[in-house]
Amino acid sequence: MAGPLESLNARFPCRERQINDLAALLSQDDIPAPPVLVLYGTEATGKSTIAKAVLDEFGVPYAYVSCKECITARHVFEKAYTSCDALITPSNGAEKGKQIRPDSVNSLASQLQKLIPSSGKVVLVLDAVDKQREMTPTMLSGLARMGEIINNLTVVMIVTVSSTRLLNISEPPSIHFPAYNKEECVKILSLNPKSIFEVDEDDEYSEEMEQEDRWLWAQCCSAVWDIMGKYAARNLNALKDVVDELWPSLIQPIVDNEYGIRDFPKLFNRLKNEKLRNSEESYVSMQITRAPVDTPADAVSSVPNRAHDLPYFSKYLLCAAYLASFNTARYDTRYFSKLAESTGKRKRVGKRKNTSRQLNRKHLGPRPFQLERMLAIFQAILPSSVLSSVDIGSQIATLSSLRLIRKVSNVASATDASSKWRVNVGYEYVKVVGRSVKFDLETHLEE
Amino acid sequence: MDTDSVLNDDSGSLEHQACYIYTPTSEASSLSTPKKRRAASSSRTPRSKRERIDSKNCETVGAPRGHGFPTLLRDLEDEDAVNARYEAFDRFWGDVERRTNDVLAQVNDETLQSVSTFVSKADQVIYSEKLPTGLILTGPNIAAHGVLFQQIETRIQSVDKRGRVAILTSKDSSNLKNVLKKIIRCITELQDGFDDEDDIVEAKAGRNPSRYNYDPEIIHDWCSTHPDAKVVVAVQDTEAFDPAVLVELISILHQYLPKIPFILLLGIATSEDIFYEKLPHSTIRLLRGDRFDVQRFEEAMEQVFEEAVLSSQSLLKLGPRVADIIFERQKDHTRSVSSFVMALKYAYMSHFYANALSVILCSIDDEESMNKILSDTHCEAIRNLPSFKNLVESTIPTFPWRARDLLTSNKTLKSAVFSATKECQRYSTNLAEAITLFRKLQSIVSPQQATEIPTYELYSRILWGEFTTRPAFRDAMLTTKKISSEKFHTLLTTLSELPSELSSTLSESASKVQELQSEKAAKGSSLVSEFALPDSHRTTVKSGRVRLDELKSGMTSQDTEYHKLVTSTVQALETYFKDRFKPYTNLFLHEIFFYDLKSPHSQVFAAKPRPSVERALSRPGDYLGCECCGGDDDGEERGIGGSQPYAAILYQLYLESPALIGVYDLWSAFRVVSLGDKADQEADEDDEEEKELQAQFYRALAELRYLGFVKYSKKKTDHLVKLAWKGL
Repeated sequence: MAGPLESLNARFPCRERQINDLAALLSQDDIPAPPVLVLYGTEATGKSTIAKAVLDEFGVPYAYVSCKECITARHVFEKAYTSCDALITPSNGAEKGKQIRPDSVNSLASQLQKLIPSSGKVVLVLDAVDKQREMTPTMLSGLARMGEIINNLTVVMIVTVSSTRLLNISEPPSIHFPAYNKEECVKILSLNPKSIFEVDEDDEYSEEMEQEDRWLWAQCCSAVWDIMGKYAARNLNALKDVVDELWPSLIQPIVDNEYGIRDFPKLFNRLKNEKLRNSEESYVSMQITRAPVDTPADAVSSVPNRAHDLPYFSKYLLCAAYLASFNTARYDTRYFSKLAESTGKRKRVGKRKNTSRQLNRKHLGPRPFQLERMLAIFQAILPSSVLSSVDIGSQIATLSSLRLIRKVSNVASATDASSKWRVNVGYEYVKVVGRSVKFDLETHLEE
Repeated sequence: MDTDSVLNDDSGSLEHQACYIYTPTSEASSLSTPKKRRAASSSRTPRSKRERIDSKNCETVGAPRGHGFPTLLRDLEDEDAVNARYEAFDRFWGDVERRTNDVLAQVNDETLQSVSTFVSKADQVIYSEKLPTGLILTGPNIAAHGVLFQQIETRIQSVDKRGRVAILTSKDSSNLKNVLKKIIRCITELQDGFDDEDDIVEAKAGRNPSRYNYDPEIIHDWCSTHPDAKVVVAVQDTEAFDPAVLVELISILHQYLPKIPFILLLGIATSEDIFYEKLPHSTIRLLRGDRFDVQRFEEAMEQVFEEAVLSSQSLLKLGPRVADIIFERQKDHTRSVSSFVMALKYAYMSHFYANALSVILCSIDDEESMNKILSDTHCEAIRNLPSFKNLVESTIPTFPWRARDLLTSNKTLKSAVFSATKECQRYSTNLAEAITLFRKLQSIVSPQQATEIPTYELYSRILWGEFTTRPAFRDAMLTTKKISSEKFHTLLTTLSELPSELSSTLSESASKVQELQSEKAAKGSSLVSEFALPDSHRTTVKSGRVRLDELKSGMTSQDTEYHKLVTSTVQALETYFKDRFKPYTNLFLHEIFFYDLKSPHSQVFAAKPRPSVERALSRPGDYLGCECCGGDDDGEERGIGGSQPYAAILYQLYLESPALIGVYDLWSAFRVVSLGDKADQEADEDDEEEKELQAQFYRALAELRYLGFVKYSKKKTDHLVKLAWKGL
């Protein structure tokens, strides 16, 4: 009995209690397993992995369904049934004449009842069952009660948060997987450290080198946890991602023989300075990172390629849309009238009374405007007037299919003068666009 | 009106369009107008206009032909000539189109290549549980996206055989189920034909139990039979794709990544930042990959322009006015190569359709066949060309007898035409050659300027012959003088490699520069010409001069020789360019070789529906042409008149009203305008005239509503909301 448990504990450190509980509940042949078992805990705490590993290790027959992979509720039922089917009658899937396709919890339960033999133990693992895309209110409790109807079936439900209301069963047996703390994280990640130097085939990976790798890796992990544990690297997987991303640049000085391996503080400082110098705002990029593929051609083609440009009038249209969204209509005469000088003063007096508004319009989000108003502003801000033609209309259509502006009202015709629109991009983008046609957005924008 | 008739005549190409046959009531008018026009079409009217009239005249006579080209020249054109024009159009345009398509196929080649490499390299090991993602920065020209993704599909699927591609557009993004169905259908090539209702795909080959038709396991099954194939999911318009569905899709693809080698390609038209703003960080962290840039519009356009217009294989060139219109529209409105190709095709079409003399282009190499096809009427038409007038006027002072021959003898004229065609061809070839040479020079001397102004924007100025006086040209020449000797040498060698009459002179000077350079290098310094001497920074003129003298005295004999060489070479280049960049209007028959009619393009490609409607309503006289509606030419502001159409009256009243219009106010104003003096009388309920007027009022109002100018207000009863302002 001790053998499998020990090996499991070696593979999954810091989870002894959970492994013991699971083994006790599911793997004892003489004790009937509970009808339902809930494993709960936040992301990346080893729920699914450990459940599967324990079941494998003790040779308990189980069917595994990842509900995240399923698109609809029926899809979950179908998968649950087929996986049980494959478990019990492994080879005759092809000979089945009539396909059984349960489309509700009830039919799944009755089909499983027919399928599952009365002796022996069957475990159905439903992973991330609360993340299911098409959740009906009774689905979870229905699934949970299947184990009560079918004698020797145990339903293992893996969820993020457990509560009695979730399954409508009073206190189902449950095992909590708490989030790992710093020591545990570092310990787990240290199981397979990355090496500093490329290990060649003929080079022997010496004990000493392994020690050093392990030490530096652990240092790096704990440093990253200290800095980002609360924000970017909240769980084990995220922490691993971040460390993986930082690792190559961290060890670069060692490879270049600039620093020794034990100079960890210096190494980390250097990394920090480098990131600051490249004016990156954070340690980890919030963009799609490049895969470590050798692409020598890339280095050549990284010559600053000028961005793709919008047509000239499209830029003005976008500026007009932004102004129409963020200016109030009643001040339009002030900002866009050709007679702005005379009317401007009068309006300004009127505005002074109205100082209750404190928030900048920019922060309140875009408001819808009528297409006609945008066209009027467009004509007003253009340096030279242009006759409206089909080209202007098609550019509005293009902008909207690029989702730079978007229609908010449900008027049938998009070009109907009374249809309502809204700009869909931020200030910075429009400012850059405006600047490229020498249009100063700021002067026309309401304060 | 004439253009309309031309269009109606073109029954072959426009399929079954509704048409309105106008039969004038009075016979006199129908007879008189064409006569008047015929009389008006003397030699002084522009050719194009006359020919359109000609085509109108022919429409009753012209027998239906397969191609629908009309008989021109007042119906005196030979049947053969008409057919020859049509064939010439087919031949010339077919040639240009083929070459353009070849260029366009290559434009995206680099991108395709890198995407294909990316797909082939995408591997579980490298991407370690992340979804390989390629961001394709496609640029905002939506029309080109479909083509690009088609190319990607064929490249990956058929050429490189790396797997299957499923292209998704925003239309598919209604929900996750439909997206998955579409992907599965594309990957497994299941045709539409199974019932959508029960969501079930029948088991294929008995391998597996049947599945829901949105189950990605189907792809997994497919993958197990195609072990090395990658599954590429390409989203064509990521911006328009519903972000929620995209997030779901990415998470599903990521879930199945261990089983199915998914690769995601996202087409981004605007900017990466906008894309990242839409997705949650947790989703972005699932992705890993690279970004690919598609060639920018300017570069693609430049290549197409060089191939389709500049190349010596294209006989018909764009004239400067048309080129200006086309390229301005490109810059301001469309920025798409395909719209340029359309405009070019239209130019070819209208040239061969409406210009009877375009027949000359068909038999450009064969004098005999040209003589045969040119009839007396053609000769007469040639004599009406403005360029013929120029030719004769320039011949008179030197060879008066030849001028007389040109005017009287068709034979002399024909031989002159033939030599003129040669001349025009030579001009075009020289022009293309000189433009390439100049561009090369510019790219070496001032690369920044060369990238800023593309060739096609220089083109029209060069054709007008005014380019050599432009600052861009003078700058280029001045900087050529000032560049360092090494650069000058490379310039000379590159230029001499291009085919031109200067190449031998240039290569000679290049070797000379080389010689001088090596001589000077032996002394341990480099060649300097006087032009390259640094500007004096001394404050006074005198001290500046002193310093310059000092510098000059430091120059060796090699330097002086080099200076001479630079001066003479630049001089030679300048004369060469000035010679080549002569205005095209100097040429006899330039009307045939350069298509330069502005109005068809501006009318066809940039239709102005709204201004037209507004103009028709606010100034109906412009369209009706009758006396009563104030059709006189002197009055600027004609204002409202009772005799105008009712809708027009109402529209002008509408223009004067505020955003909310009371219907009764509008009616009373309308009544006053329509009735004029009689309006002062009290309204009588039973008055027939009054009743009819009211009916007309409602009808006009309905028309305005139909045109989208007003709608009924919900705020106030019997009020209208003004929707459209004039001039927007």
